[in-house]
Amino acid sequence: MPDFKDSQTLGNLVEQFSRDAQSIVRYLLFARAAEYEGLREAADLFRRLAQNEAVYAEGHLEFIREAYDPVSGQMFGETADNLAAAVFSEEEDVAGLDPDYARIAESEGLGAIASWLRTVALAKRDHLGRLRAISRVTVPAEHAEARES
Amino acid sequence: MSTLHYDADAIVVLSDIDAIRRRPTMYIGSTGADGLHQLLFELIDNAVDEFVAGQCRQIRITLDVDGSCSVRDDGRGIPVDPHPLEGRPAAEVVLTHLHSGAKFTHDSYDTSAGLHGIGLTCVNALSESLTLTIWRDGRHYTQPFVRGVPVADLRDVGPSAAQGTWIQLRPDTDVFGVDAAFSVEIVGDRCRDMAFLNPGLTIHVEDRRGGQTREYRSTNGVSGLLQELNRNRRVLHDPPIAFQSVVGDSVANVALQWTGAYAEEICSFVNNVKTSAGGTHVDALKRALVHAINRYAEADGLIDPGRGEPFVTSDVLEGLGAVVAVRMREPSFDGQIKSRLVSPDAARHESEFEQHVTAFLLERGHAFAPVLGKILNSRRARLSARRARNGAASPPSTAMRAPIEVYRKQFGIRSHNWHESCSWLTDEGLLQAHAECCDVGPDARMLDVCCGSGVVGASFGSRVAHKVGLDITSEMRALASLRLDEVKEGSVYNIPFESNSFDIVVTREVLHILPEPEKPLREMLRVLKPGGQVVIGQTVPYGTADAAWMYCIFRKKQPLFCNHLMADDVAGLLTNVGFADVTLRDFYLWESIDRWIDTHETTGLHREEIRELFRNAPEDVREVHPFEISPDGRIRDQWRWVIASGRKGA
Repeated sequence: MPDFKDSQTLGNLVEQFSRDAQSIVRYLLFARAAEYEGLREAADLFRRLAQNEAVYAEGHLEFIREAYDPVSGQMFGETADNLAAAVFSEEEDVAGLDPDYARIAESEGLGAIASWLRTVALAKRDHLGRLRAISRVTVPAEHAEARES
Repeated sequence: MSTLHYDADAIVVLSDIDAIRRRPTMYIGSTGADGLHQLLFELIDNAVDEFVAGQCRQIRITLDVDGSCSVRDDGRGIPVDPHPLEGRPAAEVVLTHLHSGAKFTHDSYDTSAGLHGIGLTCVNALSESLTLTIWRDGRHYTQPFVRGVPVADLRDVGPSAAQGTWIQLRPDTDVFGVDAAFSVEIVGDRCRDMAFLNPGLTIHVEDRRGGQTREYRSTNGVSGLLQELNRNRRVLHDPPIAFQSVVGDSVANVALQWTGAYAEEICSFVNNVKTSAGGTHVDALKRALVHAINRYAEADGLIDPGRGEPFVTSDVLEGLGAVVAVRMREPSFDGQIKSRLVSPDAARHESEFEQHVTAFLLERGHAFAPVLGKILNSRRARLSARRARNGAASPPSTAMRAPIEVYRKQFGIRSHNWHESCSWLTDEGLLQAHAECCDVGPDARMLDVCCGSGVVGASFGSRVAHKVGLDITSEMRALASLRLDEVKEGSVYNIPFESNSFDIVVTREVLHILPEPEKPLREMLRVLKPGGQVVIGQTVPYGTADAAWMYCIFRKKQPLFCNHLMADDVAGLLTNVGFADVTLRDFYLWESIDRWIDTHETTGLHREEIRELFRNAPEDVREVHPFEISPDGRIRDQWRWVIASGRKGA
């Protein structure tokens, strides 16, 4: 049997985690539409589904975290690790979103989307700064050194 | 109903008083203005319940100089005979024991607001002093209370021919603060609603602080209330469509009237209590309307049955004003403040609603023609927006970039109520902030680009000698001609003037909807004389924390939104295209979001999503970006504006 890290199941879990996490936002939007149309029962169902999806996503993650953080590929668990994982993923986001994604959108004539991507990148850069600042305060020196070495 | 039994036997004591003063917010929601008014509304609701029971004709309310208030009705008077469980006079029990009203059984009141009301006990407990006066069965009684506790027994003052209940109280400043004061507007709105919902009832409000007296009385019910609400709007048909639906022991009175507005306003009540978040009764009405109007349109050949695109909720609700007032037994509400009805029974009105609307359409379809035209327009706009979004066959650049006709149409439509479409457009302070940037001689020739109604250019007054406007729509051109010396129709991407024609070029709130904004900026630079000045106003985020959130809001409000500019971006753009001496000045202005999003380019669903973005705004946003959501759900947002100034090199 393959190691969990190499298993097809881990891949499946990561895929489901990604879908369910997306569905939290999707279902909340669906609920708003149903509510607007006066379809209260459907709205309530979607809202409940969104709450459930959050639980499922966390459940998937509970297994996945034994291997890695599905977004950054880093270790995660304790705050020191989580901060590092968050810094890593935010760095990746910033690097991809701006200037690459924005430039691609621009070249495809999608100016509004380019502007959106730049806007998000701006906020993400801010996240990154805050994450780094809090990492310096939160992470004990020996922990940080161990990570750097 | 007058034969109903109303004496001490009807009073069922369920609980005690003490908890209220410890945790007032649990009972009245807040100790701010809302909670304060709740005290008075409880008294008014009780009096209205007497009217509904057929026992009261007049209610007199006073707001006094010392912060106290009083409500007097000519109903039956609260019972005074000894309460079977407590052995005390029933009136005293009602004012000192929670859940002790007569409304927990149906013997005395069929449908009452008071059942879910906070109860007289809460009112009494949160009053520094309260005097109860009762005229009943030929006798006159009185009893004083202090902070909910009786300070004397109920006293029989003597014989009297009068009838009714009079409660005078002073709200407890320990609970509500020393500055708490009743608002005659809030009280007046409530009384107006009550008078319309209860035709035949007269409510006097005497504000002794300002010396004004108002009287509310109506004979035309929910229709009258709707006409009052639509008073300042252009209605598409008059009178409103009005009908009554009876299902079991529940009665719903409905009035509908479409106006030229875009947002819908559905005002709903259950047993005289306003349900500001709607609920099952409102949902039933929405579904009934969509169904009835679709069936009518199919029968009339406006929609191809089975194949044509039916009207959806947002098509039908655009510009709808409605009042829905339901009376029912034992309504259940979501949460404490009763803002949303959740009783499934109310949904049973749906088919009755649909029948009434259908009957109206069949009998008086001609009166409905303007509304149907509006609904068809709304559907057409929705479908063409969808085609534009899903335009797979066309290259993305045209799918995402709106053609000039879209700008022309949008602002052409908006020109009809341009100045009403938001507060900032005509705000004197904001206009002056632009005009104060003016740094050219009094002989200057000015160009106001994308001038709209010309208010920005006009605000420069005698600072310049000649004011020219440029706008893409003929409608705006006509509007601006009232304010500016000369207005041309044309595009900012190709300004129809010679190079070096103007000493100053101004514009406001357009960069965010102009793709490739450098191009129009270069055009502005071109038409400026050497040394000429540019002045540009633009809303911007407070910082990175609110930028993405604001992007979502602006994009949902305005589909043409394509550049989200930070303050520095505005300066950077000007510098990049060749302007020198670029300076920025900040200006902060409160905007009514409800008004701002009530425009045709914003869909009904987007309006809801925008409100939701405010309600669920992340903490990061709340820390930097001031906005307020009032208890009735209205939203005010403080916008950050920058006004940029630059020079063309000499």
